[in-house]
Amino acid sequence: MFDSLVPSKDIFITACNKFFFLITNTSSGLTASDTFFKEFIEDNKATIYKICRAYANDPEELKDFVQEVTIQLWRSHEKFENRSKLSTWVYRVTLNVCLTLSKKRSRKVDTVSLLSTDYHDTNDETEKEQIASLYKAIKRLKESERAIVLLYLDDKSYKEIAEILGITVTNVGARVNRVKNQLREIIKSGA
Amino acid sequence: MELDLIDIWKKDTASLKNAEINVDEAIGKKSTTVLAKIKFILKIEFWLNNLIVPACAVWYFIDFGVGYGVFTFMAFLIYFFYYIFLIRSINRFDYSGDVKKSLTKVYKYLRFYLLHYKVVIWVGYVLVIWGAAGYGFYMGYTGQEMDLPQNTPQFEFTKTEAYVVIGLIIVVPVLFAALLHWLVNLIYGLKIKKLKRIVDDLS
Repeated sequence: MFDSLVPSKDIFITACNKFFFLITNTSSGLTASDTFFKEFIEDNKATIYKICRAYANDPEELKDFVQEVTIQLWRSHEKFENRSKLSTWVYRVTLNVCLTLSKKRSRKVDTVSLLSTDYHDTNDETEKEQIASLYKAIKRLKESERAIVLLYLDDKSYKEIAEILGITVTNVGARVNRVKNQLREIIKSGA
Repeated sequence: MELDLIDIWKKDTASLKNAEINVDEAIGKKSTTVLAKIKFILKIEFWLNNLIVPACAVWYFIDFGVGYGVFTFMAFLIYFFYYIFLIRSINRFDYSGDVKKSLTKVYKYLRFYLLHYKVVIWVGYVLVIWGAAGYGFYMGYTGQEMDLPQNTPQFEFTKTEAYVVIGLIIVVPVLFAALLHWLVNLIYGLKIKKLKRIVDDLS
């Protein structure tokens, strides 16, 4: 009941972000905001990696996607306004970069090597297999549908999904159900 | 099933704790998006226009007269502002906004730019050269309109040679324009097509 009265972590980060940019955005350099940006990327790296991994076809492409997302986050961070939550903004930028980048490449998808990179910190083979199967299924969806399913799996509310994708909440409901069914079918068929 | 998927997804999040993003390296690199590539070429053209065209304007002003100089300088100014407009449109593109809307807008600007380029190539290198060279050949061959005594012809061509020259006047500008057309397509056309594909897919 009182949840809405408590400032969320995102609002706090947004305020800090604005404060740092205001005091440090001078021609002499962006030391404080540089540090803040690095911390911000560190906090959001899992989101960035997971979205990029759902769109990239191989580890090399994944690296390119992550790099491009970082560049675009860096370039647009000054345009960030408090109208949306910081996490919403990260999702929007990352998804939009992936949606606009992936069109130029249509190589064979290599899900296994995507997950066998050194940063994947788990020794549980079953877990690895489950994650690989999930990504494989996600990759069989259309690119726009992948965006919906990624947000759904990240436990985002319909309202947040609507805000990130720029569609109506009703539309989100219908699409989430359809995409969930598709994902279920793909996993069932063992593809 | 749904809960399982979300659980697996959460495990993946946890497994990514050691993932690394080298921010310094990333922001030090150039963007590889289609828009970034187009902007890079536009910037080169912008600076070539800034350096070459005003110099030509001065040269024409001195050697050919005020009219030619002023005309060239006006052309420079038009392109100067046009390039700034295009580069700014790309700079304003923001991935956190309505990507489909803003990408469509930028695509339309660039498509028009490409179209203008093609029109300039075919009008400038074919119609104008046909007109100028044809008129020059006519004057040289017949000696008319040259204030020469008894309209003395300046060229001593046989009929066959004259046909060859006319053929060259017709074919060479077309080949040159076709080459430029191909180059412009290579530099801009393919990238703009990619942009169109992205816009279509976003729809």
